[in-house]
Amino acid sequence: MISVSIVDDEKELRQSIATFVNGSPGFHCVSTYSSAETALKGLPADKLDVVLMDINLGGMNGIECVEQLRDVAPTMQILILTVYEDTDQIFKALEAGASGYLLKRSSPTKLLQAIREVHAGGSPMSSSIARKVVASFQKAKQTGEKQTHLSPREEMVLNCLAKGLTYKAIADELGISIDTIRTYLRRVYEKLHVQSRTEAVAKYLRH
Amino acid sequence: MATTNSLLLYKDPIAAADEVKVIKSAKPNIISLAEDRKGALWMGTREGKIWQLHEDKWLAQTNFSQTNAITAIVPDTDGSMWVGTDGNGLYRLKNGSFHHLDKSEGLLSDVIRTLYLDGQGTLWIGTGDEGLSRWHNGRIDNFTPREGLPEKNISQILEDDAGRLWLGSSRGIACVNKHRLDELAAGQIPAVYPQLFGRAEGMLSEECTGGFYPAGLKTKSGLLWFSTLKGVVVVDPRVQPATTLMPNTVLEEVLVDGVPDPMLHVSSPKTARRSGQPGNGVSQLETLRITPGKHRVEFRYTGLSFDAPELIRFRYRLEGLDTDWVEAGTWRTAFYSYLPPGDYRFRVAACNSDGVWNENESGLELTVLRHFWQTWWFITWAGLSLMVSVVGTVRIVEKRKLHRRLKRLEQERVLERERTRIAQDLHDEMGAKLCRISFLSEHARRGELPPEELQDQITSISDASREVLHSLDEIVWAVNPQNDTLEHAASYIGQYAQEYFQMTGIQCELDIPTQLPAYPLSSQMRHHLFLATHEALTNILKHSGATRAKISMISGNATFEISIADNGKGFNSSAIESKPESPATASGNGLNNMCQRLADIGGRCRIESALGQGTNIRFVIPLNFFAKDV
Repeated sequence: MISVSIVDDEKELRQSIATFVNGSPGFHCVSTYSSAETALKGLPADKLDVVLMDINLGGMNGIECVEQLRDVAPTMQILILTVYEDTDQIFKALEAGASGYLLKRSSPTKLLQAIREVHAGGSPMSSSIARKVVASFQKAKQTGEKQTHLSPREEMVLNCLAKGLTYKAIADELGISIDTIRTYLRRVYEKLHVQSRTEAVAKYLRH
Repeated sequence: MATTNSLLLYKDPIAAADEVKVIKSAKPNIISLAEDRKGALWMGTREGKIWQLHEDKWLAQTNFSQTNAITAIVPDTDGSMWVGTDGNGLYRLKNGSFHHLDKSEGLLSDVIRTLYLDGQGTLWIGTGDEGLSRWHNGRIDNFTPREGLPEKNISQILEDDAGRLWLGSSRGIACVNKHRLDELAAGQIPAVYPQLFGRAEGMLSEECTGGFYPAGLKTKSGLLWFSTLKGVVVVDPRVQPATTLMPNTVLEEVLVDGVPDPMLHVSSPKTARRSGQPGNGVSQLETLRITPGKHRVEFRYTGLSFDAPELIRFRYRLEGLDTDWVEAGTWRTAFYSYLPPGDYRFRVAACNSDGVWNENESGLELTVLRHFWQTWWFITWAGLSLMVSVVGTVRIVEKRKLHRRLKRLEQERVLERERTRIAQDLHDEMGAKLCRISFLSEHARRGELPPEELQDQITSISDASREVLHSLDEIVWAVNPQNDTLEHAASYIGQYAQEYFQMTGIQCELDIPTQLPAYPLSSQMRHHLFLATHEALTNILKHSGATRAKISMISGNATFEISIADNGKGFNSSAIESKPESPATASGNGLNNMCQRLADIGGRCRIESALGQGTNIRFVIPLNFFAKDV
């Protein structure tokens, strides 16, 4: 049973998703929050597995919430839910520590799939996000600052994703299992998160 | 004649020089004699007494007592007698009483040397220490060396037939026109310029004697006799014409800033006569040119005359600057501290003792050159250019304003078009789909449907809703200015293609360079590119029967290309090319749409397909650094 919480400022949508999740076997919606502030107060107390978080919330936005949540509850998986595929925003959320993202318009089946994946330690990534991640790590290499680097394997997986290959295709190509791919991607996200954190600290220290 | 103690009477001096009647007189020192109308002889002595001798009877003037010598006695036309004394002024005996005139009454001096009554009733009084005095009808005018009289001691006054007074003084004889003296008295002229005669003219001594009366004599023929220390001087007034030689002027030097101008050479006015002013007698030398700037100019001139050159009077005038003649007196320099640029003519003239100006002037034409910025053409040009520049500036400013306004209007127009487009898209894309959802739901609401059909309906509603979300997502993406880059477009389109083929069984491969140049792509371009791609994808999905699709993107120097290839059955067409100007001629609305969209954004659409060999669709768009809305 995967415990899920939903943070979204739109009441009807929130309730629809909650109803749907609750109605799905193996899932249970524990709580819902309408703003980042209330979520921050309540989430750490809830025993949760996955949080579904909208980026655009009234007041503090989802990205900041993710950051703060990661400090308070590092084991909580955060899945970003967003209406539009704003790659910039999504990327920022991933840097902040989200484990994956999903578009609201995806089919509900996909939604459950994504929750499961995140819960299992995976990190769903689309090709455009993969591109951005690659670009980000490349830029970090060029600036030569003290950065976390991707391992060659991670980079390969990432590149394949950017090319649009499915997990299956990548697995065939590289001779690894899909789970391994997921692990790699999770690590990539972690590094991204660390990288962005390091960057922030470095920037803070510089000034 | 009066001698020390007797009178001698010569009845006919020429005929009988010896026949002289001697009249003894007990009155010594008779120094002045005059005959009145009645024939009586008046005498004045050195002691200051006046006697009359009438019909051999001596009469004393008893009511006259002063001790100064009687230097002159003149009978007036009305019977009165003028008596001049050497220190007591003038007396007039009229009707038995004496009227005293002296300095206190305005007389020039009390020391009277001689008297002369002219035909107009004017009494001329020669004084011994101040000059000449004139009495007429009670009005007294005085003439001193300040007014041009050559000497203060006038001891003899004679008048010639031409109305000139000849004055015998201790330094020669001066001849002055009475009219000039009248003018002087009236203030019309500042000075008189008497003609002077001295040793140079032949006088053995210049000192005319005086202190007795009569002094000097005019003969019936008009000759004038003067007595001097060394004999008698006889002057024939007619020999000198009233207008004597007038001194000629000569311009000696012109100094510019203290430096004599070398161009000017001293020449007599009669030489180098130019054809300037005929009849006027002005001699000209060459025109003097003075360099531009501030200069002091000095004209040095003189008058040619042997006749008391120190008394020559000058006047000068710089035509172009002086409005009238400048009386220079005896100054021989005309000084100008600053001459503005222009043409000038300097004229100088001299006048003689008669006060008549010599017509024969000296002159010089000179030009002060202008700095180029003083010339009229420069000033005009400067004025014009100023005007032109002002006008030009105004025009430029106006043009800029207009330009800005036009730009603003243009921008507004573009925005308007964009809004229209978005509105249209929203309507087209989503209107129909939402409508469908509406109908589906309505149908599903009806309770009579069997469960499978209900399920189908609801699935359709679900799918349709997602499609609407999809369209909305694209519209928003296209419109968002943050996405106006090549990178965003490539990323979005690639991702979309991937998702599109996700559940279809068609494997979709992406080949997008990791680094794309940072070119801006306008919202319009992104939108059309996306939709064209969507069209191509739909074609692959619905018509091609392919199993694999590949989306590649290549960016060149000035172009960006998207290739959509599939391994489907293809269709029979030779490579169709559509240029921006002419739409494609291929059949099929889908292909037409694609090509039209590319054309709309200034790009090209290339369709390569052959039966059994798959299809490759290529979109090429130009990349401008400053992408404009097409």
